[in-house]
Amino acid sequence: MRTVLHVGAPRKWTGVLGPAPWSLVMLGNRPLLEYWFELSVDRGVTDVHLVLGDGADRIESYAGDGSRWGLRIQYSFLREDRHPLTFLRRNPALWRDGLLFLSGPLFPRRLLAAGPLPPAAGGLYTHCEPGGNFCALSTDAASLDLLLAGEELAAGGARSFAEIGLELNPVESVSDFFAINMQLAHGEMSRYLAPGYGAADGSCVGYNVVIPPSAAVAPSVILGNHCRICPMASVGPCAVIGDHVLVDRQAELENCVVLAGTYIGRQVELRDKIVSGRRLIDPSDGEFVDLEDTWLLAGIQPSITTEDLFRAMIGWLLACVFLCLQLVPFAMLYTVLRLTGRGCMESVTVHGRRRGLVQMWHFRPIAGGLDFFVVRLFYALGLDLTPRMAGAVCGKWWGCGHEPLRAPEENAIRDELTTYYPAVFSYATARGGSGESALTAMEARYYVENRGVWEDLRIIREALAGRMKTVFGGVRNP
Amino acid sequence: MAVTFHVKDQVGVVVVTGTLTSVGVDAFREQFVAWWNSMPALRNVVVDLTGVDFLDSSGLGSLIALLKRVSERGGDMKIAGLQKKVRMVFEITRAFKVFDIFDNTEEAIKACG
Repeated sequence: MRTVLHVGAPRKWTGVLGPAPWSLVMLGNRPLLEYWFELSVDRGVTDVHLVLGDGADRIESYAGDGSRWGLRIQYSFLREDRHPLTFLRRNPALWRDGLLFLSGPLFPRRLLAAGPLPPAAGGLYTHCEPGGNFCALSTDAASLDLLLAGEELAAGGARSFAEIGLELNPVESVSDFFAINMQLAHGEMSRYLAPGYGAADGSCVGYNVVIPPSAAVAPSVILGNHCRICPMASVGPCAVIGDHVLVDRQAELENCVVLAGTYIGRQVELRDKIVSGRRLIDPSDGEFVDLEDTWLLAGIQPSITTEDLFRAMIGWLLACVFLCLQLVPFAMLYTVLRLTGRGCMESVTVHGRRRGLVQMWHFRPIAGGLDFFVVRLFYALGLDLTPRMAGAVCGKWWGCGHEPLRAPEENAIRDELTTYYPAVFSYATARGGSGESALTAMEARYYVENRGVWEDLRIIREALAGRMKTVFGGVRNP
Repeated sequence: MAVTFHVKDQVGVVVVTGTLTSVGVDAFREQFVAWWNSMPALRNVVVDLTGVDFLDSSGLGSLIALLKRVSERGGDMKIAGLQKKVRMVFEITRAFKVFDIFDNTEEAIKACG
């Protein structure tokens, strides 16, 4: 069985909530697309075809290769004026073993706590809406033929998704978005979450959430990761709070959706509202007002503090000094390594300082090269970092900060970080090499919280000292 | 922002149009104080915000300052005709707990009586 998700047709109403396309709007703090991925996994699907259009880059950046869900995701495009079924008709043989097809913003609401039931053999399940939103589930070649012919749909002879415990709810307006979020906050979220995450009272609380005893959290609520609820604030019942949300003192939130990265000011009262940064949205008609008072509502943007500027200056100066010291040795030793075939620089794609991908030069020893003294000397003198050092002088990297996160392998870590400082020196260079993604993620989060001039100097000192030790003792996991 | 003042049924009516933000609040407050001092017999005031499409915390602060002045004379101040965006600001700041808010000026004037 395969899944085809046609998510390319744009929807204007999502612009009120932010730049994300409809497939990435947050329902219960999770993108709509994620519900479809999980439904696919439930049905035993491993191959998913995403048909892109509007917001393609964002969707691809979020979904990646699908390995996070145990899926293999392939990307395709379809012109907006083509009928969604056109994509299926291109190669019908691919879908003969079964197909789950979606076109348009539909939320797969689970009617049963235990999840959807298996479809009947030979059954064709369809859901068709006047606006063109369409979903179908075919289980064999015969039902696929009926689907592609379109006759069964016209005759209304197909089965309903309700038979397998699914209700397909349209997400075609801000009020639909709000209603589904409230539905989830009312306790339905537990139908979509694995045990251990959902709490007994129907609330779902992410990690790194701080709730002081004087704050009141009335179930059921959905709280994202890295949230701070300040003393005497009141959250719930029925509130969906995204990641990185700060609720200041004595604020009251009830029947509301607060999107990620929002500050709710002191004594602010939110009822029946959606908030996205400084934007206050009325869910009934999508009308919004952008407040200019940051003490009421504000977006929590990555901020450059004074110390960050100080760090940047020191990092830049150190990079200049190191680059001057390294240029001649680098030219000599790298020439030797290239001539002897012991190692070479290769380009890797990483996340840059600003949102977007950049290329980074990374030294790769050829097999057996680590036994070669010149390679060890090359590492010991930090010459593998020289190209990055030049980048730091040009402003491409910070002097000290995060190990540049690779794309697409480490996209999830990048998405999670509110502030990101791709740099020459990092915890990875200090301990002598990159590690597993879990370790990288942990270090990245730690650095965000503990960054400072002294921490940077400590990292640089450890990186240089560790590398010098390797000159005679072998390279530590380069 | 533009402000006009008149009296109807012994109630002062302040009609504000435009945006009530930090840019115009000082002028608004000064004009109100000058008019208020010239009408010593007046006690109650209705502020008609039908023509105000946006208001920020400074605007809200100026309305509270007006309320204070009116209260000092033993009168009451009522707000009429909030547009949706302005009403949303009133809601999240809980300003609706401070002011009596009416759908239109007529209702507000009647309530003053």
